[in-house]
Amino acid sequence: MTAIDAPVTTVAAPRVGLLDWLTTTDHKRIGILYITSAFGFALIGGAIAEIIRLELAQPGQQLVSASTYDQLFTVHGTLMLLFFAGPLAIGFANAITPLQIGAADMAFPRLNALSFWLFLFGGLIVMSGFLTTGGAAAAGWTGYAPLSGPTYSPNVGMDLWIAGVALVGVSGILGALNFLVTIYTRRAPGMRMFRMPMFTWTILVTAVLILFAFPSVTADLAMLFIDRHFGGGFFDPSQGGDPVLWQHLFWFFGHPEVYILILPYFGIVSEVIPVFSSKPLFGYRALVFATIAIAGLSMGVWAHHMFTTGEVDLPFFSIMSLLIAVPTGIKIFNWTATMWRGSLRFTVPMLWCLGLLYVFTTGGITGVMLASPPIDFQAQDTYFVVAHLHNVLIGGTMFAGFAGVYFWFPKMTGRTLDERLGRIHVAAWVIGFALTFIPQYILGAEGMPRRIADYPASTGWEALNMVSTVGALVLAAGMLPFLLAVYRALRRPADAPSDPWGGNSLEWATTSPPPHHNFDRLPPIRSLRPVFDARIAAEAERREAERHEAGGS
Amino acid sequence: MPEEVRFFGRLSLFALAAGLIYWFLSYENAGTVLLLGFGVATGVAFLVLRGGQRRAAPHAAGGASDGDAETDTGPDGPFGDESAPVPTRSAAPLAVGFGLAVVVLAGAFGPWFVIVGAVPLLAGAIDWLRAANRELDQLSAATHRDTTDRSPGA
Repeated sequence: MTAIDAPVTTVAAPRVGLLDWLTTTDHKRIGILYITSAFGFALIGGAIAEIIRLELAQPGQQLVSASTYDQLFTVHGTLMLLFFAGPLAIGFANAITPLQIGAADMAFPRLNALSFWLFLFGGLIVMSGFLTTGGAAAAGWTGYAPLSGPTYSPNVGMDLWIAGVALVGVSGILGALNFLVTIYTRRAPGMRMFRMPMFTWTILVTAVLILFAFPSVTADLAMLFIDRHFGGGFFDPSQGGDPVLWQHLFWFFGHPEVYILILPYFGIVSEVIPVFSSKPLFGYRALVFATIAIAGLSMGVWAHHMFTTGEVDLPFFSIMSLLIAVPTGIKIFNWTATMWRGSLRFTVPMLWCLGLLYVFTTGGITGVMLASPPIDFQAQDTYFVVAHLHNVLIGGTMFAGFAGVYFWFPKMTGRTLDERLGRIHVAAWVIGFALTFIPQYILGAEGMPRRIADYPASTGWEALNMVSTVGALVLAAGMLPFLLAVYRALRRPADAPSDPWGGNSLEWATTSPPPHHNFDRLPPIRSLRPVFDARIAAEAERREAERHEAGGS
Repeated sequence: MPEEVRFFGRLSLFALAAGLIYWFLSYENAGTVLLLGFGVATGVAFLVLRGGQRRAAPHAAGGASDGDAETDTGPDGPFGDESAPVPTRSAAPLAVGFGLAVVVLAGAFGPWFVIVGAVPLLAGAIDWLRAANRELDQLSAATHRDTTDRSPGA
């Protein structure tokens, strides 16, 4: 603990029925709904990933047909990116952002609930493709035309994919608008822009990115739907269309989407590391401007996914992609500098953040490699790209996501998660991650293409694929202690203190869980760390009183 | 100028510059339109917010201060608090969401789904609008009471 313990304040959580959850407009409950649903989709997407890895463990087709395999990797990618990583961040944003700015709720509470329901129904619609006769969508999460067009994907599953992704797109736009208005208009007195916690900053920047990136993919989906059902020719060269247009519009959303996914998780890391280093965040303003720079640059790098089409300017997009490493590097540097000479506490959230530094940095470095066209031409559509993508996204989102869960679970539920189980969880994931994805880099460098259900035994890829599959099983096993920790915590009474970690920002100034209106009173907001300031002031007052008492006696 | 406004200005300048450079490097239409479109969209957001801030500035108590100032503890930046009653529970979002989800299924299974989905969609929308109207009425009644109480004759 810190030198000054926070006062222990607990509140008895009222019993909540199913109807309360279905009709809630409370941002905290909507946050929990988002987080729970996102983890639900992740468990399904993760189970699909295990099937994929088991299929690839050996040459020959053992578990699923090639067609089913195509459906599996399509739905896996769609669920993990659009229905897990993004919505999990939105869940944290819902649960925490209004608290961090001292607001009673979001600006539009009912719209907030609608965003959640659209996301949930969108995910269910995408998955329902498995129940149709033609099976689920099988064109990959990128849905490239003409593969996703009427000729190669005539099945209903593809239409359901379009409908589900469109719904989550609308949900994202409504949510982004809500966050933008909330952060702009609902801040407590004294909560200036440059006193906002980094997590809230990243949510603001992410909201702006969503607002400008999502309409592009929504338009793309509408054009694809017209091509499929009304004889449109947007992506059909025989009718004067251009399949590369799909790629432009998709990646104009798709690459910012990577940062839409990652920036909020960077925000979580920026909250966790200072608390457990017992130091203020190093270079706060530099981190804010690095976040804005990442947002700007991320809108100008989409075509590095299209180097091999031959239709984009290679030097321009290569330079822009290399440049984005600079603000990202600033973040890594500032987190490290925050820890430097700090009084470190290696709690589970902190361990996840340390894991992120190792995993994400590896992914980032391979991203810089892929930004160079000569390497990209070689690695395009190989397992090198698969490993890079997972390195960045699992490292960036899941490691920080788990850090956020362990960090804010007491605030959201009034209960703390078991530290011992948490440490097993972290260890399993760090080891499992290395086992799964390092072999995939080597496989990619050896030329193993992605999105294949089988490979010839003569390639010699069996051993590395087997190691990768074992790693994936370790990752799956690593989820068990986490689920057990959550189960055990929820069976205990809600007795977590208001501020179990010695936090800095306003969410730690209210009870755990907070009341419906969030705050009975707010501490004065005169710096980036109002709760820390209040703790120091309270401690100074206590010492002064003790001194007076000692002097009087 | 508050950071809320500058933020969009910076993004707009960056995207417009990137779009122009890209055009002269590549003469490629799609990418240029996307980059310039982003610049124009963020530029419009900048101008709208800048206008809003200028209109609000004379009315702000003590003048709206810059986001960097360290002293002011009043509302920050160009936007005042827009507090309104916080709704506790509502089935409208679920009804509208469910209705929309059924409506989009028409794209896969036929137009009948539009009719089926329209029922919860409209019911939810009506419920939503009524509740919002009620809250607005309550808010304006409270504001009116507040103004009357503060008037010199009161």
